[in-house]
Amino acid sequence: MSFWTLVRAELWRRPERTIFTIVSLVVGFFLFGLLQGVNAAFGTAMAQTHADRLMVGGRFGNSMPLADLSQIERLPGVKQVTWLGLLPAYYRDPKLSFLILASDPARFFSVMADYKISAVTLNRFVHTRTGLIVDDKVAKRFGLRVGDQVNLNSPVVKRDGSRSWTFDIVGLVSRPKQADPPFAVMNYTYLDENRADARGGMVQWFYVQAVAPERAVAVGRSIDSLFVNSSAPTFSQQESAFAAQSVADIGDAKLFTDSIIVAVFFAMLFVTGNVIFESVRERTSELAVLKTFGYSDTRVLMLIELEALTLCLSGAIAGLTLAALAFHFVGRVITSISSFLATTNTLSARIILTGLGFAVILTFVAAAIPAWSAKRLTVAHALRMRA
Amino acid sequence: VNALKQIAVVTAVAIEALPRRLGTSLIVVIGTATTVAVLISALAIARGFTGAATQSGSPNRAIVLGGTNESSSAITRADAAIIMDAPGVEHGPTGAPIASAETLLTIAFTDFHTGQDASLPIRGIGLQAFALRPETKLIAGRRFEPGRRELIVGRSLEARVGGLTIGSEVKFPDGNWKVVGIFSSGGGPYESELLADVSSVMNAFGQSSFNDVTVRLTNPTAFAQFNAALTSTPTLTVKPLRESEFYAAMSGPLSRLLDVTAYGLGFIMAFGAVFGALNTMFSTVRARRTEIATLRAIGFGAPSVIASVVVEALLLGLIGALIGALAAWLIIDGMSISTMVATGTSLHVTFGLEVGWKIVMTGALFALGIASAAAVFAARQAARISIAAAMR
Repeated sequence: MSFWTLVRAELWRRPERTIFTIVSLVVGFFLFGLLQGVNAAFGTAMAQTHADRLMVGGRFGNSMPLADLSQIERLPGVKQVTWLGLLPAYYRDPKLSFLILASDPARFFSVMADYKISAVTLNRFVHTRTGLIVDDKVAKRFGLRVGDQVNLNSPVVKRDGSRSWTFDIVGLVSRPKQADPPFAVMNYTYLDENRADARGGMVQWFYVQAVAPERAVAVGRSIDSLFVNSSAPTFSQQESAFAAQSVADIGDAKLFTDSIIVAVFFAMLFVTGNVIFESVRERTSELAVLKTFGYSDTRVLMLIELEALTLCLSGAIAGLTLAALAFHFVGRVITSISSFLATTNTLSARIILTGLGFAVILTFVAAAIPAWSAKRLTVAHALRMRA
Repeated sequence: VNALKQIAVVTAVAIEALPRRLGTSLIVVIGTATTVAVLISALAIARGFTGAATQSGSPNRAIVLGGTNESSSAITRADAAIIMDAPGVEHGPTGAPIASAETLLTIAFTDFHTGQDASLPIRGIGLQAFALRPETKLIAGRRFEPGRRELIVGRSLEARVGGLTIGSEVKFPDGNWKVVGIFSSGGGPYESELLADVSSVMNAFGQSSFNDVTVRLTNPTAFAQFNAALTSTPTLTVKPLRESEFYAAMSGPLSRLLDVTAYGLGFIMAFGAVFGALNTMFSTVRARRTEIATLRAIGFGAPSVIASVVVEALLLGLIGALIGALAAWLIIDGMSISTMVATGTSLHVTFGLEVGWKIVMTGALFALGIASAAAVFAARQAARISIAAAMR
């Protein structure tokens, strides 16, 4: 009779008890998977930002002259720079407004390397003054196609007094992060020459790529000190710091999820420990019989541990599988609440492995006392108890 | 009467024997206790947030926006004057409308403790703003004087960011502004802002239009009149909202998420706890097999046996609920949380967590649900015990 047959027989000795225990473990590991997934969403939101990219804005929310560009480019540690003017706009439905980023086409797609378009599209964009690269989700939503000419409405008034801006769609781009808000990209010259703003050549943001992520903070400082006494002082932030600020705003959610995980494990430990304890107590005489047949103390201990491990692992595998399935849905809910968190809707392999690791730890902690008492069991004593 | 007596006797016997089954019984207690503790904590957060985010909005006030949200909205000086003169707006003793045309901007500030730059919201407010929002009170220092480079700071912001104490200076486009006071505003979103005179702020930032106008209505029903007047003025393209509705709409998504999370966690944990409790109650029935068979043999009916199982489970569930509620109360009651009202806004609310009676009752209801779900199946098992087989 193999070891495994014994384990199976013992677990099915009271099928209802095994099933109840596994179901409660499934629920525990399901929660563990979900909550860890939510925690990870906070983490990846940070990890997906580009640490070598700096967002340079006006210190007082002011715009900055485009002429600052050449001074920024000359600073040591700066790899490349692009700039953004902003044109909020909507197509037909004022409730579905999006932001048009006005920049230099070549520079924009070079600094923002995670926004990918083909060389042909880029070339067409460079040579079409009224060209517009549209986010593919926006395009799909409104049924827009490359080659279409569209009129977009904006609160920004044109020189001719109208608020309707005409564009030619020259290409589509997909959002690097699913959670990014809808957007489009236009030529900065088209915006600057047509808006009814007295001061020309002003921009809202400079996007600066440093030669290396570790240089970014220093580059930011030198940019800010360069313009500290100018009419448009700047405020440089690493893209990751910008994201960190937004994530911190959601409050200490991680503390909350971690506390729940601890509470759930405590409860699971108790449930499993008790079940193993009870099943060992019930089988005292059977274990004694096994020992009479020549099973060593260690093998009896291993038998109990293996039994507990089977319980915990089957609970963990089922629970984590369910969590992975459910997280697809939960991820979408989080997306709808906060664009900064919505980075993933799949559960990472690391979380699943951690869960399985916890199942093993749970086994050994929960089964420690009963397995130890089964090991120390003396045949004569156990059989006497029966009589 | 006889049946009731039987139930009382059998239940008393079962409860008396409880200490002997302490180990297994603790599973029910711990399972319900953890469920109740988590549920109560999550509900306390949800209630606290919703309360803080909506209480700051008064039905007596209306906010007028020129766009879809406060920071992208623009209202000209001329339009602001029309709005303040509209019917339904209350006038103060001097005859001035109790209204405040405001501007909301952000300013970079270096935190003294962390050395990190943070964006702080600065709100320019009108002369009538304190009459408009009587809940805004100075707790230290004095009010800013219009025309001077002075500002006051919200209590929650002062606690969160280092270097905003009275006497410290904040760098504005036109030079340094001095912090002259600290205010509270009933835990509402204003406590996370800097307040200063609107004209001075607009001058400093070179702004020519307001972001919004907030007015006090003569009474909550005057909103209809006010709204009709504004929307029928052809030169105005503004959106008047009741202030309470404005805050409710803004905090709605996060409010709903917190509610869904609390009940979602509660139900999932309760489901797990039911199975743990089933184990306990089945094991209890097994342990009482001979006792139950004996009782049945000497004439006790099945209802008395069933009742003893159910009462025992409910008792364990209630003990669990009590421990869970106590744990939640010890850990989170009085804790203070600061969070933003919605994504993409600079408005924060600070609220204290409170383990109130209502949420404790919800927790107890969950605990009784867990216990009775487990009890029903175990009681069925107990009623099925065959006297002959058990006595053999």
